[in-house]
Amino acid sequence: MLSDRLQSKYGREIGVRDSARRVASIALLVLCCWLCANCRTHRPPLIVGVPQVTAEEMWEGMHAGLLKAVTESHFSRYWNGPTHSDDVERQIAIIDRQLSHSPAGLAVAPDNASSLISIVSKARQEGIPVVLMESELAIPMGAGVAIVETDNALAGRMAADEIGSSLSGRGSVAVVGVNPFVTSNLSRADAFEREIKSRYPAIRLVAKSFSGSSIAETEEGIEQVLDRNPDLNAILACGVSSTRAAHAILARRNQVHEIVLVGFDQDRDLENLVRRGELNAIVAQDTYRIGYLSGRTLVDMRDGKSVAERTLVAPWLFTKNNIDSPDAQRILVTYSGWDKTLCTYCTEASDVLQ
Amino acid sequence: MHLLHRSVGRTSIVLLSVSVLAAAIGFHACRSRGGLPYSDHFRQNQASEWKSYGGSWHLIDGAIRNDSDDRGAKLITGSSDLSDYQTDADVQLTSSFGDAGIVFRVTAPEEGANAFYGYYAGIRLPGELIVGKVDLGFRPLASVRLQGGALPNVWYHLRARAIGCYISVEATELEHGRSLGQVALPDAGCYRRGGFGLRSYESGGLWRNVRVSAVQ
Repeated sequence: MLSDRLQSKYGREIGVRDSARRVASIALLVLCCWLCANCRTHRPPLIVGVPQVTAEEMWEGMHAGLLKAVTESHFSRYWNGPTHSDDVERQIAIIDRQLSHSPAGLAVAPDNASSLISIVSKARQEGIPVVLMESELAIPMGAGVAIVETDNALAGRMAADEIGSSLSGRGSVAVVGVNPFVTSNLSRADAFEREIKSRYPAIRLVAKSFSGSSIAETEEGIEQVLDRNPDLNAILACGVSSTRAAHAILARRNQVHEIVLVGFDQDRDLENLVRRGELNAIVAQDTYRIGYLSGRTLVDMRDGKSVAERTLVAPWLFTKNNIDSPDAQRILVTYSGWDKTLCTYCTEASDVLQ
Repeated sequence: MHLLHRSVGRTSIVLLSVSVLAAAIGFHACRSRGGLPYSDHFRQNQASEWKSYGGSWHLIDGAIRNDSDDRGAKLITGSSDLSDYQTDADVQLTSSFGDAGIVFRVTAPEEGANAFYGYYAGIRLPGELIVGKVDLGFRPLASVRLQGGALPNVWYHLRARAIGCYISVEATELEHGRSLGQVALPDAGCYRRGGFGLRSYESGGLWRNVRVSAVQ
């Protein structure tokens, strides 16, 4: 009888304990699921940045600006692009892969105004806010796509005024390295031509050459311009590689100090050429600001705020006289100081850029 | 009797818990040393455990060669759970420009100049030892001039140690073992785990005798 009572008592207790365990297990399971779900929900939203090329000074400045903006907003960022220019297929492949992660925004610097239309349209159809950095597409993309770029009309005018004043308003000029697939490049070249024609009527525009698919082709185009125009007084080069190429050719021909050379865009080599007086001027882009504003714009778009359809960022003209000014160094120093200051253990003379 | 059962039950639960904990610690320790020590099999003409991200890689005379001067071509292996370890490799640059070296604590590698998280230590022509942290962008951590500079087509030895958040790298002349330059630094907010590999930037390169061992 006693054992029956005990069995009954403990049986009930065991039954109660089993039920409690079951409830506890279910509660634990629910807690785990909630934690997992919560963990996923609270992963910071991702902003994807895809430049024309990675790991070049100009584009890394943009990267630093974008990173600053997304960090301020507690977003995360992905940044990757082709390792060399004109690799449009790779740029599209990177974007396509990142779209599969449903990012909170896409900032892209189109390497080709036509080829990128489909992938940007895809992002837009998927409801992903897009900012076109530095350059536009061949057709307007409408709502959901904003533009943050250099004021290319002003950049063209700055280059024209530099050449116009260097030639005292008289002489001949050639435009080289025009990239017909990048709208910003075309806009600057067009603005330059308009300014020369309107403000410097005694300066003749004698040639215009396009950038080739390789440095060798670009150099060949510049060589032809020089061969056909032996009395040429000035060259406007429309990008970093064409400016480098033009300088190298002028150096080979011992014409560095005979022909005025002005280039668009910036890198460390061009900066040093300006400092040495072998390149008259560069019209630099404030890529850090472009990157920052692109990041801010995407965050605002994601938050449903209204944003400017187009934001223009002022370019800077740097000559030997102002290349070491605080403004110039802010614009030209790689990562806009983002990394240089972090390199506590770098020797002063070193040049640790990648 | 009942008390005895309860006591046995409790002991079993404690033993089970201890066993599970010990197994977890052992498993974690195994994973953090997974595959170490490692030595390459380039002399046996094998590199199947490596994965390339850019570049043009092939085995040649007991070494592995990247023939392209891609920016940031990588060859990666090793578990992403590896933590404190030392990476050794002989490195030779095959171009007259750029740099080549080793990467460690690498996670999320992809094709792209700086498309990974981790550290890079390389010899840059004409004569610099550079160390950087990569988080999809290159953040230089340290650089020193190499005594006597560096030349293409000459073997150098690189050794990188990562212990906790302390990183040290040394470049030595291969023939006499003379130290050419070294850096050692703490990296607050360091990456603590990841695989290892080879990387070159705007230069082709040759690597051999890649050895990785756990360090305490």
